Amino acid sequence: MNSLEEMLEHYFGFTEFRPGQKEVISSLLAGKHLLAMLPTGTGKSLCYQLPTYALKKPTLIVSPLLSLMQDQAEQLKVRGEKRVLTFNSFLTLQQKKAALSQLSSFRFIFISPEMLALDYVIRAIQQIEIGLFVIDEAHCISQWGYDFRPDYLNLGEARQKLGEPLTLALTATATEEVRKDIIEKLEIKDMKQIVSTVDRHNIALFVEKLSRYEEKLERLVQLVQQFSGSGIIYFSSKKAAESVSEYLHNQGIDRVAYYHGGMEPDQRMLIQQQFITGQLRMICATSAFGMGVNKPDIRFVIHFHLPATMESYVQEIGRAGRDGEQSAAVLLYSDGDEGLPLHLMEQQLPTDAQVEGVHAVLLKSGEGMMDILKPMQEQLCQQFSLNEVQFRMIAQFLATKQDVAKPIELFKQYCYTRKSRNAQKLDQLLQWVRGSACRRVGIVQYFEENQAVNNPVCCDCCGMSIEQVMERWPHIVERQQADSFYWKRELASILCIKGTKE
Amino acid sequence: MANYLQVIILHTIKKFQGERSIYAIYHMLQGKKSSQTIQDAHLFRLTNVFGTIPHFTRKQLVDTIQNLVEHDWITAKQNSDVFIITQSGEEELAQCEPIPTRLNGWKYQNVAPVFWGRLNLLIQTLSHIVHNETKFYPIQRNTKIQQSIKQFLQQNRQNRELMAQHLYEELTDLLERQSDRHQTIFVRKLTGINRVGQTFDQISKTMQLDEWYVRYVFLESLHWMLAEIEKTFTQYRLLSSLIRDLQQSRLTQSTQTTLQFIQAGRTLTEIADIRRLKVNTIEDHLVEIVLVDKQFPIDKYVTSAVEEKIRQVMKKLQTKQLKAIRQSLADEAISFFQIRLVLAKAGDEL
Repeated sequence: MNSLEEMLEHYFGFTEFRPGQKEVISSLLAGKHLLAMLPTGTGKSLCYQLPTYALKKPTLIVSPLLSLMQDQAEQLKVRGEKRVLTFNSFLTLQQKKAALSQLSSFRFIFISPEMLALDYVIRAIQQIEIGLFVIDEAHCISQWGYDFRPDYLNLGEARQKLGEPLTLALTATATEEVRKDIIEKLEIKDMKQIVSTVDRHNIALFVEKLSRYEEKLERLVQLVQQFSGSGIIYFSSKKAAESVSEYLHNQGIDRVAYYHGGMEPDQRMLIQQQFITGQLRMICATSAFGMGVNKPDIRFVIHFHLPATMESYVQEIGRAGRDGEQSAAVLLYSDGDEGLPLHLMEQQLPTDAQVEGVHAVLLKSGEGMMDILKPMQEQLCQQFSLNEVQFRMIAQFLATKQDVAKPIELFKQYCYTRKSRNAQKLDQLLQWVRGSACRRVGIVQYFEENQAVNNPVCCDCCGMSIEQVMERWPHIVERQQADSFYWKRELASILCIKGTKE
Repeated sequence: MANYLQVIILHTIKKFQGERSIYAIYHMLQGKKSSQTIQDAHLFRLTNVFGTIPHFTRKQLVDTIQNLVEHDWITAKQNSDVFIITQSGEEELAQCEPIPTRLNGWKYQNVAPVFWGRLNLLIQTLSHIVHNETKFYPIQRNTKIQQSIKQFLQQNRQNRELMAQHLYEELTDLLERQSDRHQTIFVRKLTGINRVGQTFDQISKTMQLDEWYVRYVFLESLHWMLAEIEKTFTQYRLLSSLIRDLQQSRLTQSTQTTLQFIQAGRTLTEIADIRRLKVNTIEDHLVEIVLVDKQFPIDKYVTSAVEEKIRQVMKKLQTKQLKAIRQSLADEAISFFQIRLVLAKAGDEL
């Protein structure tokens, strides 16, 4: 196999690359370290999967979320790729050892950042030759990114220990500032950037202002009856996702369920699969839903609450229309909605008093930091009323400093800066929501693109209406819900048993 | 009307008869592997609910207790952590769905989730194969379960249509001997080629039943099926081979080691010495052994005369509280350990 197109057809069964893919792959195969920003839903994973076959060496993929990692691994396996490893804290010590001793037999090695921080893991990876080092959701490395993960800060060091392998940092949404920060933190001098537009031309954009919560509910019911096909409705709280799902159900709208991080993993799995297979038409979800959900025909995304940043908004609406067909995103806004994300952001960062309190305890004990921080988590969290995110933040910061006695002003300053940054980001989103200029232009400008936008099916500000979008909607045959349930017949049909009587 | 979690906790409080604090309830439902909890499960006949909520949280407990107090179904004993059921609590309990009689948490709490995980994935896999579809997303993400099904299918080279047929026959045989509710809930949970199983919440809404009740009915189904498969395994060849490796001992790891030493003729003090454990711990192990095997000889540790005395006091006082029994036997040289051994052996007799 010579050309990239031949490989594309052979391994993936596609005849054409999506925009941006070929450029990324060619650059990598030319040996260039790369930061690639490709919008959600444009086939980012192919950008490292195809080069892996070309390079004929294992690829190491760092992924921030366990569920995302598993989804990607399962997708590879379903495609027929067997040499896939997910290396994370779910594995038992025995499984970890077994996996590490036969690392070179895998083609795709997914790993969580905290595993990559462990010496024995690094040592094992050093024994094999990594062809490609991939950092998925690379914006997590930047403190200015909207989804900063302290674990990601170790990646630069880990990469060096692995002998600076060919590197691909992938993200869907990163401003210029964040991209600069990613490259700095990874300490790669000659990193090339490929940035394609964040604009998704087949998603029509709508913001609707409503005066009260009840009006929002009413409008939501209208919308989901008007739209055909699958959709996601995003909420900022688990409770709202549950109660609105129930409300819709009571309004006679069927095949709708809720999904959030508070549910047991196996129950979440069922809902996700029901949605992917079309058994469910709609999901009322928190932001926990979506990453790794590979469903091409999601027709609409509705935001019942305001997301915290433009980045998360763009990520979330990007789940619609991966099949290229006409889709729609509707944000329902009423005055005062910004209070909720503001409150949620506050909760992510510890206050001065909390930082000082934990620090004082550590000073007193005077032992190795991580040794005491972990076992004391529950006590410390209770004593200073810290939530898990806040605790991880403090732990990560204090652990990276060599000396406990070091002044913590730096960290307090960081928290402060970050709080005002968050407020600023929310404010930018609010201006976009309240504004009357073209929505698409607004998004593109936010990401500092000099992209001309010219789209006949654009947004509410360009005079588009939902009805007009519906005229371009693909034809969708809705599934009928089964009317009766008889266990024996059901069991027989699952196992393909013929000739059973009731 | 109480929800079913409230019913389970109310039931547990009733059984404890004011002799255990709410933390004992917590440990019981969580299935804590301590001698105290294991002994309690037998003494108070709570082996059925033992370990049936492995992810039970303190908050859930505290909230439920508070709720039960507000309804006046339970009341605190002298402002302590100990609660007793009230008259209206008794009446409420009598009105609610009874505690599933075929539930056996003590015996199956470890095995049931694995059994379900494997069965669920095996059915999904077979369903796809017999419909000529090889690609699908496994509904079970647990790699151990995935591997065991892979292995199972490699070892059983039987024609897949035939295997599906056998599975169908064994399952319908087991399901037909259960109630409508059990049948429907169980099959609604299954995933196959054209359908993904429903969540407990979805089932509870479609069937208009309390979600906790649905969970318990499902759990009871699993426990009972396991018992049937164990009892008449020749009738359920496929299902029993699916769980053959799970018929493990019901003793904790450490207790098994102690048992080996006892069988080798060592005294408890010797064992404690060899294992560098406290004698108390070894005594706990022995109590655990007797709980599992009531026939286990205890005459080395309690003479039959002393055993008889303890039994009489128990009967007289109508209590299972160690303190009360010991006080009443104050002038005798009888240890707590000896009382616990006799209690363990007497089990439900009281």
